[in-house]
Amino acid sequence: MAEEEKPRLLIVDDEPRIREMLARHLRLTGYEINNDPANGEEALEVLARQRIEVVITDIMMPKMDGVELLRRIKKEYPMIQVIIITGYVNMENLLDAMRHGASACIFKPIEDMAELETAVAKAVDHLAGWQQKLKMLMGMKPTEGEDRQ
Amino acid sequence: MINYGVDPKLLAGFIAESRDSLAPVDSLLIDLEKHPDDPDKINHIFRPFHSIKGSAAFFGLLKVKQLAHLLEDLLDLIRQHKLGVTQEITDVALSGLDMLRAIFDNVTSGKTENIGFDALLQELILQAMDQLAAIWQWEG
Repeated sequence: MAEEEKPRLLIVDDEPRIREMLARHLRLTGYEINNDPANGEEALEVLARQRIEVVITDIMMPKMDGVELLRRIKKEYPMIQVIIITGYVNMENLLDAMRHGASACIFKPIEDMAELETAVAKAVDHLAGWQQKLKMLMGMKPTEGEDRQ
Repeated sequence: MINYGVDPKLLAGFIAESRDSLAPVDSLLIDLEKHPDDPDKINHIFRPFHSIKGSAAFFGLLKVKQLAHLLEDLLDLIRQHKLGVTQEITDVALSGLDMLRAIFDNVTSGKTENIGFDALLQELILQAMDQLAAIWQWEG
């Protein structure tokens, strides 16, 4: 992402109150959030239109749940980082999240936002690290004539 | 070059690499009509679309991703022998390839991905859907 632009997040939850609360907090922390999907299907519609760095998604949602959303994201947008937030936890859905490549899983209710902030920061850093490597690679590529000393 | 929130140098690099990877695809597609059962040929054609599909969104090229995905699906059907390599199918793939290059040209000259694109994409999707409908009918 360009340095002057904020990392873009997508918060997916069927409870508007949770979406609003997380969006408000994370905007103040320095992220851009300008969408409001209530389930996996709506999230995929947003992803087809907007470049997003990190998706934060609930698991239990109507139409398309968070694990299916994670699976679709990793298939179609493999570089997007996905953080799972869930109040309904069992070993199966936690292992599903892990197996399908979630960056982190955070249990609801989220009483302390520090864990989520850290997870988002790590996910953004992960992408920034790759971006940096790509920049190094581009810088290392000699332009015509430069490779002969 | 338009700012997609990605370093313009990186975007230019991605476009250049994508163009290079697609360069041999036109002639491979035409060859494929003559040798439709050659797995190496179909894999060579499939690979650049798969890579572009997976990476384009990271560079903000969402239409490129959408189009590469569609072409990948079409080629996957050929790879699985669910779709024959007819001239119509080759034409759809070649049109898609031209559209990808046109989008790269637009972005490189500072325009958006969208110029004149949606109608063409819709047409391509409809053509592909016709092919898929024929398969479903055949399998059903």
